[in-house]
Amino acid sequence: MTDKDPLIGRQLANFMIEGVLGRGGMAQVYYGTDVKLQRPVAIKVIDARYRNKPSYAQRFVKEARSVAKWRHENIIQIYYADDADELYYYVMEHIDGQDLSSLMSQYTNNGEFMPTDEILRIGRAVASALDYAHKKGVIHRDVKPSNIMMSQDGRVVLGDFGLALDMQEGSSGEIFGTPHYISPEQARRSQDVVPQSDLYSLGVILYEMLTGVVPFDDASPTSVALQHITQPPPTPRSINPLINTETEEVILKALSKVPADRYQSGAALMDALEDALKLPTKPPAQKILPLPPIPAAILSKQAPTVFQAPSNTEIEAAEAAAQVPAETADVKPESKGKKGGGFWLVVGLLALAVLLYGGFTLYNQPGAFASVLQGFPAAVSSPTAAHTKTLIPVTLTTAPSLTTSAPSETATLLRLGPLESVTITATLTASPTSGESPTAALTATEIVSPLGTATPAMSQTAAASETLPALTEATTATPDLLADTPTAITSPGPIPTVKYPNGKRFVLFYDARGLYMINVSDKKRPVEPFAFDRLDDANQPHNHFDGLRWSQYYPTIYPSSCIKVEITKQAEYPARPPQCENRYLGGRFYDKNDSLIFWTPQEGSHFFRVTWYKEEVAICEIARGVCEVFVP
Amino acid sequence: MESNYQQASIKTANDLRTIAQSQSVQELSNLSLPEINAVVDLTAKIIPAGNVPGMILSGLARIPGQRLPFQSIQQHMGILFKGVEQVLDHVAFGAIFAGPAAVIWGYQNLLKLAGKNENDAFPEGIWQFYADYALREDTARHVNETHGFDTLLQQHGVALSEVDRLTAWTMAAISCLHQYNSLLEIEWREKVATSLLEELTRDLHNAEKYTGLYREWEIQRPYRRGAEAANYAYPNYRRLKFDHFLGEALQGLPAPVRAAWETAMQTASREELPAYQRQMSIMAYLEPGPYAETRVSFPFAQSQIGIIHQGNYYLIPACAPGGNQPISVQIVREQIATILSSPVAYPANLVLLSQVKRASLPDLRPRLTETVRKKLEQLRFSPIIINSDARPASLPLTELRQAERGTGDHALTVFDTGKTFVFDQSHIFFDGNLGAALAEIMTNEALSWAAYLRNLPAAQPAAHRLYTPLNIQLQPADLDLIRRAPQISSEAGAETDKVNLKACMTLRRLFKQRNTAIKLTVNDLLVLYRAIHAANYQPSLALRNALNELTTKPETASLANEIWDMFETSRTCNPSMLIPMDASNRVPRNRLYPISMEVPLTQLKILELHGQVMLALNEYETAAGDRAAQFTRFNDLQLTYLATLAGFSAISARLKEIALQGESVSVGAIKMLAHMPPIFQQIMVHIPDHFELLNNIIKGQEVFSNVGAVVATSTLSRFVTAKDDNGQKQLVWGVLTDSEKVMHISLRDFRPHVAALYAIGRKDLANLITQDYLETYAEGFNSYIRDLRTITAASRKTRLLKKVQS
Repeated sequence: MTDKDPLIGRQLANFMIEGVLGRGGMAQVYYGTDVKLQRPVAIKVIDARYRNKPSYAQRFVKEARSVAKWRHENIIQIYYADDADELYYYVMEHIDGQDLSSLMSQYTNNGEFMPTDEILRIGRAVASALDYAHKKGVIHRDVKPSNIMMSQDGRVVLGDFGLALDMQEGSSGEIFGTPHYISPEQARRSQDVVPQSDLYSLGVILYEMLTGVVPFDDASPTSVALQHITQPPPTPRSINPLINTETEEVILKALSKVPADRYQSGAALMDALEDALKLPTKPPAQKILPLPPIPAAILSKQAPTVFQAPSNTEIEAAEAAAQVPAETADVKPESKGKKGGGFWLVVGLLALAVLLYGGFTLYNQPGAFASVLQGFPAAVSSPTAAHTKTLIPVTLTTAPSLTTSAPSETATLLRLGPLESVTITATLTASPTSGESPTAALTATEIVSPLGTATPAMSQTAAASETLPALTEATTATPDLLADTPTAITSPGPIPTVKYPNGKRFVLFYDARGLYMINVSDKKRPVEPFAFDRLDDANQPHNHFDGLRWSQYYPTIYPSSCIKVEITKQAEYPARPPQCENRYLGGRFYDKNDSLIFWTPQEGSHFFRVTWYKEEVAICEIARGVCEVFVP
Repeated sequence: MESNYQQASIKTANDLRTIAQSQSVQELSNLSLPEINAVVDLTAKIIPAGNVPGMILSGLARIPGQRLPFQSIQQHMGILFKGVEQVLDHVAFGAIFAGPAAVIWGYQNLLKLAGKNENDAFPEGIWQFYADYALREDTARHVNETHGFDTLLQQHGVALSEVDRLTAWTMAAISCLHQYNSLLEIEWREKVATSLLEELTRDLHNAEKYTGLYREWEIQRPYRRGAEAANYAYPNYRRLKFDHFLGEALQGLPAPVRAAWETAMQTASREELPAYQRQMSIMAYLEPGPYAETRVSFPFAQSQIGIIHQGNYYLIPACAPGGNQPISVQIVREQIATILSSPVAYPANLVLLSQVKRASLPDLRPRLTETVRKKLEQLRFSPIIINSDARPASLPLTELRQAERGTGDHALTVFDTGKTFVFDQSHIFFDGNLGAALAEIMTNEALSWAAYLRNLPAAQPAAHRLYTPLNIQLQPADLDLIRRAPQISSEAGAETDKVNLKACMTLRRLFKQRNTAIKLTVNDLLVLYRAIHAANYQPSLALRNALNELTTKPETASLANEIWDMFETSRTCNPSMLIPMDASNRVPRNRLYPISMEVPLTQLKILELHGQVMLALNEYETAAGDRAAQFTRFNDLQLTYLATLAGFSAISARLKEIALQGESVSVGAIKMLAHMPPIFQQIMVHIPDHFELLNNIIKGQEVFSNVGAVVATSTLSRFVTAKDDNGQKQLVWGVLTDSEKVMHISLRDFRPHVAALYAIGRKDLANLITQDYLETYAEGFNSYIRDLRTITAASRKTRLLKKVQS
């Protein structure tokens, strides 16, 4: 069809038209040659159907007139504009390359996301071009990937100011634009466009570069436009989980429905995006799995259990186990009471190894199996007397500075038995680098994991990360955070609740200046269902704080994200976990005497309660400064 | 034909009344006499001719405890479909039997009439029944591969000696045998507990909490023991994890519902679990009969692990002498050290025997020399055989398994490639999913043993030999018998990982964004494109050149032409694909439900539409001037195409839904088979002229089995699926997505040219043809996805232009 175009082969001024390059909204773009300068050019000619429409013809000339005065690396250069024989046209530089739409398609077709460096480079160029145009009083109004050219030498050029509106002169009331990139105000009424409308379109392009899809799509263009006006965009992380929350926040801000809520310049948008993209995303997946422990039969010096067809008694026992709720399930190890004489030494060494490795301890709660499986940072162990069994020291020659538990307690610990909840005292929480003799560490290592070739820290991290990927962060965060936390609180308190030991895990850090909640699970959860109440010693609630106070700004807490409440005007906030730096979805600030402050030390109050949809999910000890919460 | 039909119907109705109104049937049936008459008339119209009474009686014979002796059944049999042929000519037969669903429905009416409970015929589930008689041959084994053992040892800097490597796997096999019943129990319990919970909470306001519970568990189910559970054997550890998972689900359950669930669990545990454990036990060997396999259980104390070293078989007992306890690792290690240091005998070469058709073994085996026969008897007590003779990891799995692998009476052979371990599994004992799980569990168990063994001082040979060297030497007479026996089909194999899964996932996101009704799964897209590929396949240039070379030689020209013809013919056949679906969630003994799907390419005009949309898009994009008309055309076609794809996804989803309820045509057809005496079942299998249509539906022409994506910690890397013994199935596709999100597709090719090329020594060309077919599938699939993506996203370039003021 292009061969039949009558303009091909015709010369306009010094420019020979040689073929069709593409088509804009109301004009055809040709490639050609400047016959005098012998350089390639692109020639844009108004569509025949608009030639008799003065307003459009004037607009066409105006576009050329506006842009021809400009000099910007990222805006297409206009060489010449004219009308002849009822043809309105202008001549511009010819970009030898492809448009951004094609480039994105290549990535999408390969199922890949565009590299962030490339996103920043392209985004910066377009933002710079838009800021320049806006300073000149012109709004592009049609920013979309097919209007962004990528030359072969890497230059990014914004073209097609065909819809540009001179802000000085106002709009003629036309509704133009590309529905997938159109801003809400432009979709509603063309007169309402502002420079931030272009930045919204750039936000959509950034969204698409990061996720591979546009935020709204539908068979009907009107429906797409309506979605821009009415619907919140799907969160980028729901499409590309590798995006960090900060980047998501930048994009969502760029796509705010109200222009005033967006970034006010392209540079501000790109600065924020660059900062966000520099931040780490989720911790990289653990590529090296830990070796499994040696066979249980070897560890217990017993042959593996023979599993023949179960007897009726066994079946009944199995049924009974299934019917017991998790927190009361009495799970017996298979070989209890059949240990040989060397068992306790092995057990002791194992306990030592556990301590040496990661500084882990067991959290004091019913249903301890689940919590042990999921681990808990060593430094958070400041057990209360009410829930702790004191462990009798056993001196080991290989690790003279360390003590471990009495046989019976240790056995429970190692067997992960749910009934006996055991917490190791703070003095036992040695770190792997705390100066123990290498022999001690090695011996312990070899028994727990006879291969023992990986570094202890690595093994421990890997083991923990298998069940709780985010735990590594919490683990490293807590020691410093809790350095000033009182160690042993003896006041009796309510029995901690763990309703959902297999649920999604949140960790709270708090001190007299602030409270921080991190989602260390792999699933997002709404913020609103959370509520907190200080409990007095009579177990009566006070200082009710409702998640609604967060959720009206940030309704969802994503994995690895944090929310906070802080006391205003503090010089520093020591309890802030380093993991939360730049990861806050939101914060609330109150005076220290505000009735909403529920977590600070007060006479006659040692605990606060956490509820989820009005159901108690945790009782947190104020003096501990840390607490974990599991929600469904 | 019409009058024939009427005659047949009348005759059938009369026959049917005779038998239906007889005292014996009336006693069996719960129906009243008028109801019986109504069923008789209806049935006579659906199955208009033949020895219907014989059919009913034959079915009755299969119900345990019924009063009709088998001899009287045989008198009545006379082969139903022979009767049909006597009344109707072949064309009429085809026409009347054109609706297989109607046939099945009619047959079910007959069963109803006879007062039969269909389930009585399937004490071990429908699929087990089918597997025992139709998935017997060596080609009915599926294969998995894991790389975890060597990858993890390498990552952790562990080098095992040859003795310890084999000891680790032998101990893993011994543990597997000893723990197998527990593994089955926990598998069963996870499925039944969650499905019962889902079923009983259906009417609760928070029913959604319980839907998809099993899927939720699947995602977090451990296949390895974590460091925190060092003292637990794997089944117990997994059980603990599940108990906690379940405990959470049970929280807040209303007391009456909970009580109902507990009662249902108790009943199921009492009545179904032992039966399931018996059904799925690997402590059994297969005894081949002329029509089916019989599983023969043996005592635990007799069990042993088969070791193949340099082509020789050695048997190591799985239990300590004189009891049921597992043999100790020290003993096993010493025994293996002895085996590996022993002089090598002449290789057994049992691979020849594994290629003989199982139906002929009852005749062949008694004629083998006595020594060989006795040694083969001994081998039967090895449910797991480990072949330690390294196979090249670079081979396709179908080729890799072509090594010493017992005689096919056992459940599992494990091959060592030096980099991976390959699990060759009998479909009678394992489904794809269970087999894959076992491969992972065994790999992790072997790693546990490796963790222990690597710290021990070097192994010393045993002072006393506990193992049994088989020293099998096939005699010339044996070899002659074996070579003359009917052999299984030759096969070629190929594998590819070229499918761009990420692009496919992106497309699904686009679909979802565009319209939530477009619910095509990855598997739907793979199956859909398989039909397109079948219709469009063109050999690559390299293959064309190779075939042209074959054409130039007089002795191979006709074969080359046949291959060209085969390509041509296959383009005109829309393949009927058998898609196995996991049906074990509710009733684990049912194992699988097969659905047969013929993609309705023609009916939905998918190929035409695709071409038209692409053309319209091209015209729109390249048009000059006003392109409104081109856009409208493209847009209309695009919408039609996407709606058609949405329709296909709906059909596919419905088909799966029906299949999982046990009501698919395929399952119905199997049910029908089950009520016929074994001889009749064989007739159905072997008389394609008569039962072509039904056969297609029961079995499909191809198998398309996608086991899905493995969990993040899995090291499963490849999968090859099984095919049943019907020669009609010629292509067998297996799909697995590994933990790196790479899709691996395998293809087994049983088309006739494979055997012909093997016969002239051109195995290379047979493999090239298969590889080419698979590669073009993967590449074409990627292009198709790219096209769909372009089509779906194309409207993004359109403009919203409501009004232009003049």
